[in-house]
Amino acid sequence: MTNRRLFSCFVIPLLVLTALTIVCFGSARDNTLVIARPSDAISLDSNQETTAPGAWVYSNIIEPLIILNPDMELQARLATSWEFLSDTTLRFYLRKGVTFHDGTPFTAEAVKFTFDRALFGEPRANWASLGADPITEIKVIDDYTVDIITGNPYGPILSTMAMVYTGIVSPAAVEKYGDEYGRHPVGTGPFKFEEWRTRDHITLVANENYWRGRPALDKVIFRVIPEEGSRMLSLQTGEVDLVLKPSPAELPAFAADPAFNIEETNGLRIFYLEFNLSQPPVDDIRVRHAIAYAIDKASILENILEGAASPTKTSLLAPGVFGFYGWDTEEMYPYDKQKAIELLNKAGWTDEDGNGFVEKNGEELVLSFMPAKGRYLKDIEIAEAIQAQLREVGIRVKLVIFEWATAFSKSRSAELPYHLLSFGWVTTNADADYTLHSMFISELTPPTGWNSFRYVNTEVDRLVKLGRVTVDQDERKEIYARAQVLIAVDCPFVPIYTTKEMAVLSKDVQDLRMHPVEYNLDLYPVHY
Amino acid sequence: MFAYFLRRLLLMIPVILGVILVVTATLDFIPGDPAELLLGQFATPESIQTLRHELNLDQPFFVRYLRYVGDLFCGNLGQSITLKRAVSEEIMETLPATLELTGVSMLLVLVVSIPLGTIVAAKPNSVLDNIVRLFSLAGLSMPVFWTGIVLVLFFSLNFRLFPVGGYGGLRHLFLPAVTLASASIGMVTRMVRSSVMEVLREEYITSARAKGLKEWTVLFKHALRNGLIPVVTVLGSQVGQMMGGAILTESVFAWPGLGRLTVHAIFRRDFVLIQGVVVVLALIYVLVNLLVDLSYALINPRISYQ
Amino acid sequence: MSRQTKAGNRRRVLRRFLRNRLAIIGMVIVAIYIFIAIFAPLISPMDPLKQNLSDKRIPPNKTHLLGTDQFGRDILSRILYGTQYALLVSSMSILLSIVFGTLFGLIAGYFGGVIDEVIMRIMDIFLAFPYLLLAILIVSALGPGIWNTILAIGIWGVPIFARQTRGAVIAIRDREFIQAARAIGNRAIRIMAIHLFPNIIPPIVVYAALYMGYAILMESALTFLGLGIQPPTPSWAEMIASGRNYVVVAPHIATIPGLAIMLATLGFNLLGDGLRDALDPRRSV
Repeated sequence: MTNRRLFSCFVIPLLVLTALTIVCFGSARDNTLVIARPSDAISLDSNQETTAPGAWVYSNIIEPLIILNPDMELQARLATSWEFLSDTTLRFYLRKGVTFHDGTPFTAEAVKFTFDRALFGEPRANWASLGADPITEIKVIDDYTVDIITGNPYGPILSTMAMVYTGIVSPAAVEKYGDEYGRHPVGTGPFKFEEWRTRDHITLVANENYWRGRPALDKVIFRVIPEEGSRMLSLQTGEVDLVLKPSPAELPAFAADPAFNIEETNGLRIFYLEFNLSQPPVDDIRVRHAIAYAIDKASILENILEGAASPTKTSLLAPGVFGFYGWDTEEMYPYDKQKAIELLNKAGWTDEDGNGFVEKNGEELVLSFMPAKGRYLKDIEIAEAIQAQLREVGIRVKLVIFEWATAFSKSRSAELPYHLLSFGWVTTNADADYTLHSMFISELTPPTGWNSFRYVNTEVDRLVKLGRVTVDQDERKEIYARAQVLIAVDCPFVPIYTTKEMAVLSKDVQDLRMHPVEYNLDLYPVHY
Repeated sequence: MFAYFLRRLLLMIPVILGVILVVTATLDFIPGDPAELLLGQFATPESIQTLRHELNLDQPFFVRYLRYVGDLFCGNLGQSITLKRAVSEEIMETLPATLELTGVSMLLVLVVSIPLGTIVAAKPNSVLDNIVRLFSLAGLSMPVFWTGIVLVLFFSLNFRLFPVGGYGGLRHLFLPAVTLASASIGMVTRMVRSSVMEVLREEYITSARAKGLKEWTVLFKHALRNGLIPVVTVLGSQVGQMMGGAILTESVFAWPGLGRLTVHAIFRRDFVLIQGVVVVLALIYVLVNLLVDLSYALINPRISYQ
Repeated sequence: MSRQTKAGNRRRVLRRFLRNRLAIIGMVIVAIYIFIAIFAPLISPMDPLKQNLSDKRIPPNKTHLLGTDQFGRDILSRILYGTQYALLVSSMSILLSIVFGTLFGLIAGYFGGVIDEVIMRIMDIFLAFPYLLLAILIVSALGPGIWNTILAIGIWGVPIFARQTRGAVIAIRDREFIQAARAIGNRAIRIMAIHLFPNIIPPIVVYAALYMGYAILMESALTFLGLGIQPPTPSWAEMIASGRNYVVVAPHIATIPGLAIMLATLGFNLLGDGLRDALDPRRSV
């Protein structure tokens, strides 16, 4: 009897407590857009963070002078018009009457300040080496006129100026916050920064005085949900309204569900397996070709990506990029285990002891693979699949896994002791020079450049450097085509997939258009 | 009493200094140059030198150690290399969320384990007792991160009762708190049960019963009170368990507390941050154990002097 | 103690143990796991590393008794092979803890005085680290991998075994036969090895069994956080960690390995409990 009383004495309050918690329901919608993404930004200063987690956010806070719209056409933003005064001088006429979020006026001085800080400041912006190197000076002509001057004629100058990284920042804010500016960004964009709870969420509010008119949304909250399953779950329960980087496994279910829409467009990012040519035996072209034949790209696309990405061409440029030249990867390097084994044998690697792995001179072929993890869609799963597929042809692959930022940092170091890496590269300004120049010029190895392949080909060097200073666009196309053919044959990488920039959203969210360049997430036109 | 307290407090100091020693020493065991590792792409000979100097890596071990202790005294835990902010700032920002989580979990543990353990102690080998024992054993055998995933599967996916994760009010706190508590409830219930059973065998209990006191009074006023000491001890150690468990639970539920910060620090190999977090948590744990020691004296005034 | 009494004691302990149903269950579970670990290559139906991408995420059926994971690998085979890794890491960690823990405990308990104080203070320092944090510190400094994990978990266990051993030694060090041995002039090491050690074996065995459970859970935790073994070696916790992504479309991938962990831990806990009850029936938990 006592026991029953005792029992009910604490069971009932517990049940009541549970019931109360359940009943306390959450958010009303109130014109706020809640977005779920895999990782948090490191900084909202475009000089310090060039990757999506930050760019998605600050692309709505700062604005460049010009932009590329989702159809990849140049459009005016903070500049109203522009003209080439000469081969090396580009003049921009700026929009009048625009103010920064902190009230200070937008003038040519701000443009000079932004670029000087990025290109000539200490430290230089991360993006300075991504196509902005040729810029030598920013000249203020008057309050609303500014000249961008390059040392030599620079073909891609306009597309470079359209990169989201070049968004103009408020000089007053940078003065005020100094090193902390990355946590208090101030620009002219449709949304203002409000708060940032690290690793949880970033909140933006509408800029009432936005020069194009106030955006439809009152508030945008960028949440961090690392696991793709959880992201989709929170979309289903209504906790979030939009998911970036959705789970491919669940796409069919969401596509069939009338409560949700899927917005997608062909992206410009190529995810690829990278060879470090400074590490034998990967420097042997036969080994590289063998690996290219050993990877079953179609199966990866079908079973791991499940339709969330597209097949690739042989170039690191996507077909939408100016100057692209390539053909189907499946054509050039089809999945052929036999051929792979043959090539390995020709290169001197044979399985003499019958243990399933090939050796040469008594040493097994062991490759170290430092993959990306948690940055690109299915990056680590693809790494594991490649490991298993290479095992089938007798190559032992040792995975050395670091979390993305560490892996990225290591891949940018002067010393890189791994044979294989994986990476996703987007040609942000949609011009061939951006990629070919930074990644394939022999002397531009990390940490100065992005040639982490350590690829050396003097003819490619010559061609790419020529393409940069050529002004005739047709000529440039031809030059770049020749370079890409050479690169494709040399095979310093194996492209795996081309991204589809995709978001899954609740059907109430209207007018979101995905941009081929991943970083440009334009929330201005979005409304319920 | 005061002397007891003072003695305990003084004994705490060498332990804390020892903890800091261990934490500082681990930096020496990192293969490769930690500065180079951290700088990655920005590693030039000059920048490595600068960072080494900032981290006091160019000093002999003891200088580094003493510097760290001195800084700690002033509340300076160094600068997180990956987050570019003061470690103490990061910790102050995230600690409240973890305290919230652990506090509510601990509450759940107390509310469930103590009554439950006491009740079954009075009726050993009954059906209820066997059920409770089984569940307790099962509970403490379950990996806490798996419990969290399974709970999310049922309650968030199937029944749509609770959110999947993130920070918020009671609804967001419920599943993580239950998950974290589940790891400790089993252990504490068992401890309460065995402790109360021991006490119940004592003579004064028989005489209390003979006097005609109600079972309730006998159980809770006398038996539990005297049996609390081992329970308090295990609660103290469970706080330590919870700190570790919080790291896992916060991971599963994306709860933005100190645990998530630790995971971030681990992945980013941000040793300054790892050091800071470990030192702070160890400090808290040592304090908790001190309180546990002191509470012995409060619970049972007969036990206080050594 | 006479030979007959010792034998009599042992028989009594054994009988108590065998009467305890839960303890038997624990022993059986542990035996099964050990069997699986040893014979995994023979009893495993498929190659745990072989990927078959088009067979991904199949729920349990006739061919794949526990289904397949996101790479089309047979989950049953991976669980069986995962036993090898789990038992290897936990047993080696416990071994490390026992070797060093008993050593310190013996020395501290036998010599007493300053040596005792110093050793126990050092043990206190390691005990001051909350659960998992010491292991996390060690593994993130040294890097992930099987040996660093064993080291990290082993170090965590040292103070625990040191305390136990010291307690047991103190309980008997003033007994007559030890005094006698001392009086004869036996060296300390001889006393420790021949007289003390056999008497502390029972509590060590009990705690070894109990802490195997903890070691398994700790190893799972470290692996879940990404500090454990690298793919493609099958590991239960890694299966849970990667299976999380598919918990909506294929919950079996993340949930089944957790049962394997739980059962293993439960087995060792029941065994340890049973041993403890058999050796000291006054304590019944």
